Amino acid sequence: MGKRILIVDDSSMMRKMIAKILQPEGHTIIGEAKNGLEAIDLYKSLQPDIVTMDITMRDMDGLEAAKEIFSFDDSAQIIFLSNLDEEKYREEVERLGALGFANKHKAKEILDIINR
Amino acid sequence: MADLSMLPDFIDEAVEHLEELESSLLRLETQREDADVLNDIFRSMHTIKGAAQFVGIERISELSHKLENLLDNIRQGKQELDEPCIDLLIAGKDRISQLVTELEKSQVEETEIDDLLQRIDNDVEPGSEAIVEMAVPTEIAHQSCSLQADAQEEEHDEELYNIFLEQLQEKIPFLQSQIDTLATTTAKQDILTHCGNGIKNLLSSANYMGYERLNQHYKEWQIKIEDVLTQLSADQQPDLSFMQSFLDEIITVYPQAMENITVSTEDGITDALDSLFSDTPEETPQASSTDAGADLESALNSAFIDNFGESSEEVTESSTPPAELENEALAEEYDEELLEIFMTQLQEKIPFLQSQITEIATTTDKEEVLDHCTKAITSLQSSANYMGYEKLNSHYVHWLNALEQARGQLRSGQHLDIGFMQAFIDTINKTYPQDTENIVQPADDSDDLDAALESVLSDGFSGSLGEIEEKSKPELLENETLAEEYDEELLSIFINQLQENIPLLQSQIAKLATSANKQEVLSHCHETIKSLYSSANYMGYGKLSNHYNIWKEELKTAVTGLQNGQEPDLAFMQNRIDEVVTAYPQAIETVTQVTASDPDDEFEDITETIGSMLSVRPPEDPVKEAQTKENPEDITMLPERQTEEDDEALFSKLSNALEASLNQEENIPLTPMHGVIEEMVTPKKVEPKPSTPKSASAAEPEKTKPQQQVQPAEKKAPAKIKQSMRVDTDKIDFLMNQVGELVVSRAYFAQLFAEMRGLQQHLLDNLNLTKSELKPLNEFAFRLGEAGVALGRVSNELQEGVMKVRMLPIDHLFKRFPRLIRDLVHKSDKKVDLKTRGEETELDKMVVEEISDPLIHILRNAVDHGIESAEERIRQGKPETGTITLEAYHESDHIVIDVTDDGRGIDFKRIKDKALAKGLYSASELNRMTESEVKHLIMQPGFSTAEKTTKTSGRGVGMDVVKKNIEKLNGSIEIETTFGKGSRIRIKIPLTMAIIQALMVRVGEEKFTIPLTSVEETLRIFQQDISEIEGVDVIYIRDTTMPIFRLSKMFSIQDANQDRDKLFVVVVSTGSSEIGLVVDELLGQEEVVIKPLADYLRTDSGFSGATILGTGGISLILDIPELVEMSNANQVRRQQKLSHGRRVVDHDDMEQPVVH
Repeated sequence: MGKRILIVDDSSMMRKMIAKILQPEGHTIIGEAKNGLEAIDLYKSLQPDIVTMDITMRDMDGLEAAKEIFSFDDSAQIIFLSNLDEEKYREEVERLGALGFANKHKAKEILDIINR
Repeated sequence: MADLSMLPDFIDEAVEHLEELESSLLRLETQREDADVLNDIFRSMHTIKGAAQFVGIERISELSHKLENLLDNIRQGKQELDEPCIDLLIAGKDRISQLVTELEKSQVEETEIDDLLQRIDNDVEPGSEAIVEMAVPTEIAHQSCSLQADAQEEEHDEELYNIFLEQLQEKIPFLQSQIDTLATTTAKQDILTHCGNGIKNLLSSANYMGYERLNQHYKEWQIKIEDVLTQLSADQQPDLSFMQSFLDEIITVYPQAMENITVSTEDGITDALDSLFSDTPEETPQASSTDAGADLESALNSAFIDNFGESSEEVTESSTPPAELENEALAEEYDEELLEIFMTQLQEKIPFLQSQITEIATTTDKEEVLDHCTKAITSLQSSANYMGYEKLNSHYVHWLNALEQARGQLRSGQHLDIGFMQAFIDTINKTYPQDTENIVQPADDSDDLDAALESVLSDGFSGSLGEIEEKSKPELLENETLAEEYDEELLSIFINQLQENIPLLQSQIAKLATSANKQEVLSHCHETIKSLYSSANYMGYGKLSNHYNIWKEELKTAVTGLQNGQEPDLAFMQNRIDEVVTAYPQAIETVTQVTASDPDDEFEDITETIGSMLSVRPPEDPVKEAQTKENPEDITMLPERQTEEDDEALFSKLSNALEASLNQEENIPLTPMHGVIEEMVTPKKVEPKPSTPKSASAAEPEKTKPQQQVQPAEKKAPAKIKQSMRVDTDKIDFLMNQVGELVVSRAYFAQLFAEMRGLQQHLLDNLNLTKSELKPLNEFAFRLGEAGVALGRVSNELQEGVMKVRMLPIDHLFKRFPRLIRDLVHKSDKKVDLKTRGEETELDKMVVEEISDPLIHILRNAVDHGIESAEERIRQGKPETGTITLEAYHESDHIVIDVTDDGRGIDFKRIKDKALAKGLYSASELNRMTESEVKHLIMQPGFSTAEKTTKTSGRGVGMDVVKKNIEKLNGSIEIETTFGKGSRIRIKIPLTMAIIQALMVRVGEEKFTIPLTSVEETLRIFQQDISEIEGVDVIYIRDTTMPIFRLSKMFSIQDANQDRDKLFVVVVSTGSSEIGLVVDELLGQEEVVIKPLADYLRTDSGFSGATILGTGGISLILDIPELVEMSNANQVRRQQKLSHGRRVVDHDDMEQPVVH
């Protein structure tokens, strides 16, 4: 069953690429945000099933935004996507209670987490 | 090149980030301690890198990766942020910008980056080098010159070299991780032993490759380790930094060793493959196909062995019986790490060999394949040897011998038998089951699956190998993505393209059956195949590209046939595409996925059932299908389905029929059946009649159509936040032109309305018509007026809209200047701070571009001539750092840009001296000049006060050019200056250049247009107000005099108006001076569209352009700055004449350009 997904990434190109990965799987991209603040606003208004969250963003980074989202919706489903060193962030991601952490380049991994 | 479809996005984004990067870098220069700035820079660089990697832009991703590392080191305090470091970062940024520009222009990165990479390397690792120098000062010197890449110097075998590199890529990171742990662990001895083993392994491979220097390097390393080990056991604390230096040495020479690590090749590939295969929509067929693969594989094996039982026995006899092989890995004590490496190699090589065996059956160049096998086995042998697995080693030796024999057979033209190959592999598989583990994984099994399918095909014929060899060429096509090493990203791009184009082709082929214009469809196909070909070619998939090539040829023949009026057989189209799909099942993956996600779940179940039934069936006999395609009348569609229950029944019927057809025909391809199934579940609700097998497959050509409709519908994502698109500027210009025409039409409408009014009046006055008689006419006039107003409103809005499209915030321009200032100040004794304000002010894109050069020049002047050196400033009690302020703001319908500096200001005396020295003016003239006139001297051609030619100024391009450029934009320039305090240069430009507000005036019979931006006021004067001072007509206005000029005289226009007593004067200004233009009548304010005049018409004419009037007539637009200049020149000339004592004959000496 396709999920309603909010993509958060500061790079428009990355948003496009992620959408390209997800859409053929039957998921619907219901919104795109380019920083943490936008992500929180959109999360409130769109209530997505899943959020894909970039880590490095200006204004508010992904970790902070996730914290904020969890603070009002602890059942939020957030997947962190990054090019950054996984291990460095994995711990923090897990502590936050996010759904998972995947490298942006690994489409399969992302889909796996979503379908889990 | 990489994924070109994403390239424009990448460029856009990269440009954005680069701009940000530049401003951050400049900030960093002044705020070196600011972590936020550093983070910003890091983030921008990181994003660029990520995007570049994603799109597959090599140089940018490599360079940005290095820079990112450098930045990370700076962030962590490992690298000092000094001057050269910042310079390096800026240079890196510039290089990326350059590459991006090149990408934009030609889609190719042209500039090399090696020099920068080198610089970064030197910069990033000086720390470790320093340590190295302490540790082994003599050796490092020796090594750095001696250890060069042997690989590059010598001729080498590609295959072997790859193996060598593979090993390097495996071992080097391993060593690196060991060395890293070395720093922390207490069990240093163990780790060093591990390292020693690893190095031994590398040594043997270097030895095998014949790389003597590398070999030597390793040996030295080993000795060093041994030394340290002895020291350790003697409880000493030896310096271990040599480990890193040895490793670095290798990495420097063989950068490939680390290259793939960053992208973690192996994981990547496996993942990619995993996703490719597990993405297959229906689980059941996937599972069963894997099973089938395994089954068929064994079938294949037995087929080989049956056929060549004898010969392979011979071989087996001559070699050590494979059965005797034991899994030495289990039997012996072993180092886990090493074993893992051994296993990896086994897992790599065995499937490779397996695939080679399959290939040997089909390929014509058997010897080459044998060569490949030999190499693979050799490398296996050496690894077995290294592990000390003697039996395995001898097994390999025997294998190699057998291969040699086979080669001999081949050369002597005997029938080649390769059954022994399989026997050897089987033996290894049996003894080392681990190596097949990975065959079970979907990753590597598709080769086998392919092979299996092929063998079953051949089974279908008669099961003999000979048949396989005879099989038609197309079967040669195998999924090369699996067989070869590849880049994950490239692969995904390749697959994407496949996914795009294959369905496209299928739909085209479907069209072929019905289309009347086959030729056109075929040429579309040709295009598609061409693009597929180039991508396959780029990926280096020889067979696939060859396949495409043949296809293209066939197409060409078909098209020629069509042209000659023949009806060529187009069945090959379907065959070709089926082959591609069979080899690259990924190609239709997405297509089927769309179906799978169809909410109609019950259909999906059925789909799965049928799918699983089919998946074990091998491909269909293409000829059958071709037949059906040629008989399109065979395709029978059932009427629309009535009820869901009906569907169930239909499907079961269909499945039965399919089964029956399978039994009849042996072969039915997977793909067409998918098509049928999809046909059923697509919303179009058409179904092929299931009663005949023919129609079942004939429905295939139809299938892609409905899918294509489904796909876009699903892809439409709701609620995009903000979208922008790139538009060719030509298109906008065209639009702007048309809007201009509309403005003219509107004026024409107004004109018509006015005429109508006149007509009404005429009828009323002269024909004595009554009001009631005129009523319809009045009503019509009123409606006409209304229509005119409506048109006016729409055209106004349209014009505004189009203008807005062209508007850009001036920030785009301002952003470039901090860098300019930095470069100007760099290595000078000045300190300058640039402040910008009003960056959000928008103006026409063309204006932004045109104003850029003048602004650069003004800024240069400000830095060069305005701001004093830091020393001098301190002496004068000014702050050490000079400030230049760049400010933009709106003022009615033009934009003002102020450039203010707090430098030394303009020295009037120096200007006068200069003007005198250059002979531009006489001393008396200069003495008479007002301050404002003196200021404007600097904008005269050939004037420059720079005493020496500095780095930046004195290029012969002076303020005169700046002035010209700005006037070209209908703008003006003003200078305010206070000596010693600073100066301000104010540029005023209209918002847009295409449509301007203008004052229409009449002189005689001619109508002239005066840009409203230059108009200060209009006056009505009487003849007696005009007085003459020094031969010039002037009027007194607000306690000062102002020269006035009669346009009628300037343009030699007959005075039609005899009422000379009352005159209209339009006061125009060019910033510095005001003059009055005497006209006969003020017609009013209007918006006019500027039509440029050709250069030869414009020069010295006093006109800047023309405009079309509502009546269709033409009005010339006055070039006010030029008029002012002309009048000044006249004035000067007259004064000269006066001073020479000659009486001035009124008007005669005026320059009199003629209205063209």
